[in-house]
Amino acid sequence: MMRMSNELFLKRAAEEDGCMISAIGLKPLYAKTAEPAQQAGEPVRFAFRTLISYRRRALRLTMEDVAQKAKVELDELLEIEENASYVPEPRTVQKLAGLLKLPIEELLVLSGNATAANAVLTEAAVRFAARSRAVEKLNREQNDALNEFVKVLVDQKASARKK
Amino acid sequence: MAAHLDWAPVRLEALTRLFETKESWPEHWHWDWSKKADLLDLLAYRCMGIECEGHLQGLMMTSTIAKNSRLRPRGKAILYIEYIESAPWNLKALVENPKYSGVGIALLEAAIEFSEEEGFGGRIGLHSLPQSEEFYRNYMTDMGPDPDHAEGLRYFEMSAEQARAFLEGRK
Repeated sequence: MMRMSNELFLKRAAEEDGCMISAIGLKPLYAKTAEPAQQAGEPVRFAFRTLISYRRRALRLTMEDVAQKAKVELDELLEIEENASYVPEPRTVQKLAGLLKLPIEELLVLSGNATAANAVLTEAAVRFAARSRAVEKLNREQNDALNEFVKVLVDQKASARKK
Repeated sequence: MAAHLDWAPVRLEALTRLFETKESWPEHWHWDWSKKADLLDLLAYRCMGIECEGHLQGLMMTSTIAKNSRLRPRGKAILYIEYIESAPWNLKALVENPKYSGVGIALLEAAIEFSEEEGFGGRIGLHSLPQSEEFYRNYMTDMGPDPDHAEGLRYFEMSAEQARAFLEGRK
């Protein structure tokens, strides 16, 4: 890791000259509290976009690869991976499920297109969201979290079929 | 959050003064850290601060999952700065003689370092408040107003190459 020299730091600090440096995120810190129903869905949608991102990386696919192979616009893929409030069209979810080998029904629930039949999926999604962070390459911890969550999705699908 | 308590009296004093002179005051002062503290339970979020003489001089909150790069190579992971701020006594707009300079530079350097550690190559991004745009324009690319941002703030991004240039003093 390269560090700035002391001399350069002093030069840059002089350039800063006591100016404002404030920046504010996509979700403003002073944002009004969301409706209870929306709050409940937030970790689930966070889990959806993280799942897509992790799964893509685990399969060693770039965003461009996914866009091309699943025939999804790159802009929409960026939106899906970055914007937890974005609800993709069911058809897009279907394309992603096919390419990333994830069960479609569960993915529709996570993406906000359908309602969960029970709490197992949403609870697993909340756990996954809490353990998630983005990295260029998944490490063991992230891989474990991903595999555990995918297992819940597949188990859910299997138990739904039995019924 | 400790910064809220520590910075509040100076802000209050400055607000009173700005009110008397009918100047506008920074719009972000009603941020409520306590409402977002729960985000720090998520591994994707991290908070960093600079402490000197027993006081927080600057604070930054980052996310490794909020955005991907808009600059080429597009779609790469970046470190997104959710929030960054310098203590009020370090700002020329509020006090006659700011105590410390370089808080923003030190936090930007820390953000680049963290981005590199995460394998993001030093890429970082943020939405600047209007008063801070000039500062970020010196080192980052101004991508213009972001329609996805609730306040329509301008989005700034630093590529891996710009991060190296920042650290090496090429700009």
